Amino acid sequence: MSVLFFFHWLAHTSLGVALRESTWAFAVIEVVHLLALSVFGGTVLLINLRFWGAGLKLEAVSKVVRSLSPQMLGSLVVMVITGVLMVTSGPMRYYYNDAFRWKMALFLVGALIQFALYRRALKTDFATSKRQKITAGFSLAIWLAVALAGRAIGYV
Amino acid sequence: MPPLLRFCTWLYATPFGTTIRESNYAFPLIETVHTLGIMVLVGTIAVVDLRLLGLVLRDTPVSRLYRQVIPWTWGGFVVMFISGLLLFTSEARDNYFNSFFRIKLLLLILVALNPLIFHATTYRTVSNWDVSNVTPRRARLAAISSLCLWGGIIVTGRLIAYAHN
Repeated sequence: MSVLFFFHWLAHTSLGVALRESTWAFAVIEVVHLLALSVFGGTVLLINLRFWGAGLKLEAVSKVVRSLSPQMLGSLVVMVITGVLMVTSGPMRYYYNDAFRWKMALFLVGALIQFALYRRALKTDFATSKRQKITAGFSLAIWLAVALAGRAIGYV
Repeated sequence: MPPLLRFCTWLYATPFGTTIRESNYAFPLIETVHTLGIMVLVGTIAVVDLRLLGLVLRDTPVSRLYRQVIPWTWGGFVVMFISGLLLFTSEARDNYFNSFFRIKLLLLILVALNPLIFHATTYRTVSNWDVSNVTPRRARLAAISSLCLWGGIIVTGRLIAYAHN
């Protein structure tokens, strides 16, 4: 059972066919993806900036992370669902798209790094270590790259 | 020709607007900045709105949260305004006839009025309800208006391209 096989299978599901034949479904799903991205991006920005003592600098790191994580995860779930639906509407087109492959790889890396940051942050009050700062900066760069790869999908 | 259309046509035909429109990379680049800037502008103010609705950072006073977040929101606004202006210049004439663009502009005016009204009225008494989980009804109304208006702006902004025929 390969990824290629899975993408082929997706294309022939009734959901895949319905999405492909609809004139408006993709646009609606994409817009929801964009709305969720606005929330996700802002949350990730404020969480990661905190490690640099910027943004919510008066609040404890653990509080920022604990309070904003539900918002981050909620919007991320919406993005994954809408993303899967968009791919389902034309799986092979995405399978062979370099930008999409990069986006998926970077997304995995970004998610892992963000999760690692989260674990450590729950025990951090106000001072952040140099390692946390570097990791948070790197994380923001990865998320930016994910967004840029997403934009590039339509152009490659 | 209506003066507004004449102005848009003029803007569209300027060397500046033409260069952006005809360049292979300028328009996509500026559009990318504009799309990603949404996260800074809307993403940050959304946290303030959610606090007003008592959904996040409940034990942080509203005014303190606002003070920390708003510089970033303004930074995002500057980026969005400049990139939006550049995009508009290159498409001015088409945008004039585009219903989605017109609605977006109207929503932008409303989303600017919302905080102006809020700050002139309800926010004046913030020291009374700064630490509350349940903020005054008008504060919650302003927060919901903000979220809905920004949502509408993002949606109509995306749909502009679909009406270009």
